[in-house]
Amino acid sequence: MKRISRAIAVVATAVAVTAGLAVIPVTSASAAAPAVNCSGDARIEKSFDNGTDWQMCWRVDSKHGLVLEQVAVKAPGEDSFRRVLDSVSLGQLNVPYDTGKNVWNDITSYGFGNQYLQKLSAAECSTGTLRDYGQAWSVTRRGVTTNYLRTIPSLCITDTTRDLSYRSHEQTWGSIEDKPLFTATGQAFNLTIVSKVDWYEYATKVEFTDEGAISFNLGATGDISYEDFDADATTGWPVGTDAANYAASHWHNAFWRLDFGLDGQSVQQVEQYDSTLGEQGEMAPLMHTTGATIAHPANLVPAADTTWWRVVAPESRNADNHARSYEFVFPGSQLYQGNPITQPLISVTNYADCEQFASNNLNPACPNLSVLDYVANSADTSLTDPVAWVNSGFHHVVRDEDQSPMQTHWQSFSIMPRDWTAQSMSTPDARTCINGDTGGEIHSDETPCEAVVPTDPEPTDPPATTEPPAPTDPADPGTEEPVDGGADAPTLKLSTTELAPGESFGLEGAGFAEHESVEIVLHSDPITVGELTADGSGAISGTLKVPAAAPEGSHTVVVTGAQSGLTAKVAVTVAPAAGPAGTGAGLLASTGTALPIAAATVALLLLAVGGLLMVRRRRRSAISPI
Amino acid sequence: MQSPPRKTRTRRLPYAILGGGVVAAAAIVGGFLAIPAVSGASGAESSATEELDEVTSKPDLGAPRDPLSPDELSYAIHLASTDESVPDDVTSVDGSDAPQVLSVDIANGDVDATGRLVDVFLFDYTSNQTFLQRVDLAGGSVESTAKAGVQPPPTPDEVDYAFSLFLDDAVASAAVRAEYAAVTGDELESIDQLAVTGGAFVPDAGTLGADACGLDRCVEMQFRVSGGGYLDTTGFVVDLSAKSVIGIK
Ligand SMILES: [Cu+2]
Repeated sequence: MKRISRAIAVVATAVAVTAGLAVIPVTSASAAAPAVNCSGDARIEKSFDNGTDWQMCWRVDSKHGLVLEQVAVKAPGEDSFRRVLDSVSLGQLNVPYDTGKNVWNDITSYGFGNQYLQKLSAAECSTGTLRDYGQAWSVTRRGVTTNYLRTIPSLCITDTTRDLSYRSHEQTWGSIEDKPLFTATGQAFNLTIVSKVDWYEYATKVEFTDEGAISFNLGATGDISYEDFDADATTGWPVGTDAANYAASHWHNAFWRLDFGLDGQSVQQVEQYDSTLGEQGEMAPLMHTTGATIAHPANLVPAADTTWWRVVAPESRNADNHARSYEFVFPGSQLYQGNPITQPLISVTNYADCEQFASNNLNPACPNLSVLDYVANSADTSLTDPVAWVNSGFHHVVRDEDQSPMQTHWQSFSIMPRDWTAQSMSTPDARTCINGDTGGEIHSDETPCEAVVPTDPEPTDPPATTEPPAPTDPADPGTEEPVDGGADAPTLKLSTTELAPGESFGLEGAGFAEHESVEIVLHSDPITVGELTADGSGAISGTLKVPAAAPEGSHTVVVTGAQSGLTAKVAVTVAPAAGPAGTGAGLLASTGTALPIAAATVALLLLAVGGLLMVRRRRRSAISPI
Repeated sequence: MQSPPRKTRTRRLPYAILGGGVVAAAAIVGGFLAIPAVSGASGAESSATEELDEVTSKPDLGAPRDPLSPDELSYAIHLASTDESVPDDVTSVDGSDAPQVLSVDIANGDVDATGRLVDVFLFDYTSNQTFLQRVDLAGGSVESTAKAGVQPPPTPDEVDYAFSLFLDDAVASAAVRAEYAAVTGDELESIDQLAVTGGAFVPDAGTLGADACGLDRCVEMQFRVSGGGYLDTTGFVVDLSAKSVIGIK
C-alpha cells in the first residue's frame, strides 16, 4: 500500500493554537430561541459531553402512544438547534397470524395510551428517571358525562453509553509501539413507555445519540396468546412438551410515522440510491452508486439490499456546502406480503393533517384510508414536505423461550445524519483539522493536528457561570503580553485562562535560554506554581497544577528564565475552589466544561509532552426541565 | 385488570355510577399488592383518580404542546360536546341525551401551531357518526368533521356496556358461560368476575357475518379469568349501534 507523509508545519500549529485560544464559541447565551412549544416536564432536553444537545416535547396520545414533537439537535459548536423531525410516533401496529385466523390493528382498535398505558415503577426504570402522564376517561350515563383523570409514572428516560464510539490509533501499521489513541465512549439517551394490549406488552423506545442518530424500537413482551396455540407444523412452532401444541407464528408490523422538518426547511426531498456493478476494473468490477429524487408521493421497495434512502434539505448546507440530510438505516426489516399495505418498506407522502394512521385511519376527513390511499390520492403532487411511513416488520416464530413472560424481542430501525455537520458530531478536538484529503498521516505527538482557523477572532461572551471576566485583552486571551516589546521576547501560551485551584492546565513557551530552568509564579501575591526546563531551543512545555491555595479572582501567570532573566506573562482568572458539579444547573453544561477549541489546545499540549495518550472529557450530562 | 375505569357494579344495576374510577383505581392498587413475587410492579404509584369538575369557562391555558390540565380537559369536552356541530338528537351508548366522549388529546396537527388546540373524539349513536372536534381552547371555537363508519377504539364505558349486552343475550353468551363454569366452577354473572378489554371491530373481506359493522359501532372483546386464562371470544362481536350480539366467522 502507498504511504504518503506530509509534515504539518509546526509554525502553523502554533498559530492555530493561538487562534484556538481566542475563541470560546459554545455558550448557552448565544443559542437562538428554541422552537419548542412545551414546558415543564413535557420538555426533554439533553446535553452530551461532546457538545451535542437534543430537545423535544413528548406526550402520550390515546392511540399513537408516545409522540415526540419538535425534535431538534444542536451540533457541537453550533449556535442553535436545528429541527430534525416535526413529530414521530407509531402509526399502526398490524398483527396478522400465520394461521389466518386473526388480524389485530392495535393502534387504531385499542391504542397505546390511556388505560393501555402502563404504570412504571422505579425498579422498571432502574437507571433512569420517570415522568408522569395522565390517563383520562369519560363515563356517560343518563345524559350525564363524568370525566376522570389520574396520572401515572409512564415515561422512562435512560442514559446509555457505548464503548468504541470511534477509535483511531496513530500507530504505524504493523508496529507495536503505542502512539496517541483517540477513542471515546459514546453517549445516548432513550425514552420508553410500555403499553399493554391484551397478551402483549409493547415497549415504545426512541433513542438519541451524541452523534445525531435516532433509533426507533418496538419491543414486544408479555405472553403468548392463549388463543393461538392452534397452529400446525408450518404455521407455528411446537411450544410445550413434544409436539402437542403449536403456537401460531405471526407478524408484528409496526408502522412509524416520521414527519420530517429538516432544519425548518420548506423544501425537503426524498432520494433513493442504488448501486450497480459496472465495467471490469483492474482488480474488481467497478460499482456505481447513483441517486434519484423521489419526485412524488410513492411506496418504496428496496431494489436490492444495497438500496438506501435519505431525506435531504437542499437549501440547508453544512460548513462543507453539502446539503443536510438524514438517512434511513435498516438492520433488517421483514416485509409481510399478505397485505399490500405492508409490502413497501417506506411510503412517503406530503404532510396532511388528517393522515394520522398507516391503515384504518381514524380522522373523519380521511376516513379509513391507508398509506396506499394517501400515495394514490396525491401521486401527482410534488414531494416537498415528506412524511415517511416506515414499516418495521418482524415475523415472530415463537420459541420455547418466549413462554411466560416472553423474552422481549425488538424490531428497530434508525435515521442517521448524512452531511448534517462537516464532520462527525463526536470528532475529538485534536482531529477537527481533518476535513477532506489530508494528504498524509496524522501524528499528533509530532506535528499536532492543524486546528481550524476561526473566521471571527472575537470571542463570544464567556460562559454565564464562570467568575468575573478576566482583565485580559479580549481579542487575544491566553497569549503573551510582551514584557519589553522586543522581537526577542519569549512567548507564553496557556491552555486556558480560567483556572481553578487543584486543576491542571497546559503551558507552552519559547524564546528562553537553552536548557535553562524557568519558574512559573502566580501573581500578585506570589505563589510558585512550578518549574520547567527549557529544551535545546529555549522552548518550554508542560502541565501544571493550580495550587489549592490560589485565591479566587484575577491574577497573572509570570514565567521567568533563571539564567536569562527573560519573562513572559498571561492574565488569568482563578475560579472559587471547585464544589460538586452543578447538578441540574442548566441545560448547557458550560460550567467548567472544556470548551471544544480550548480543549483542543489542552489535548495538543498534553500530547506534546507525551503525558497522555487518551483524552477523555469528564462526564457531564443532565436532563433538566426549563 | 389493567383497565382503570372498570367499575364495580352488578348486572342488576347496570348503569348506576358507583364511585366511578375511584373504586377502580383502588382495586388496581390492591391487585398489584396482592401479587407477591412480581418484581417492580409494587413500587409503581399513580395519583388518586380525580373526578373532574365541570368547566364551562376558559381556564388558565398551558403551552401548545403541554399535557392538558384537568380544567383544560374538562373545558375541551364541554366545548366539543356543546358545539352546534353536535346534532340535537345526539345519544350516547346507553341511549341517553349526550354524545359519547371517546378520547381527548393534544391536537394531532401542525406541531408549530401556537393555539391551545385539542382533538376531542365523540360518537353519536343516533346518527352513527364519529365526530372529530378540534377545539381551540383559547378562542373557544370548534372545527368539526364527522363521518359514519370510522371507528376509534371503544372506551371502557362502551366496553362495559357491550359486556352487559353480551351477558344479557342468553343464547349468544351460552358458550362463554359454559367455558367459564368449566374453568372456574362458578356461574358467570358479572363483569367483575373477569378482566374485560375491547377493541374496535372493523370487518375485513375475510370476516363473515359482520357486514353491519361497516357502519355500526362494533366491539370485539377479550375475557380473562383470574388466574390468567382467556375465554374463547372469537365467535362474536357486539354491535353497540344495534344493541345486539353478532356471530362472526
Ligand atoms: Cu410476537
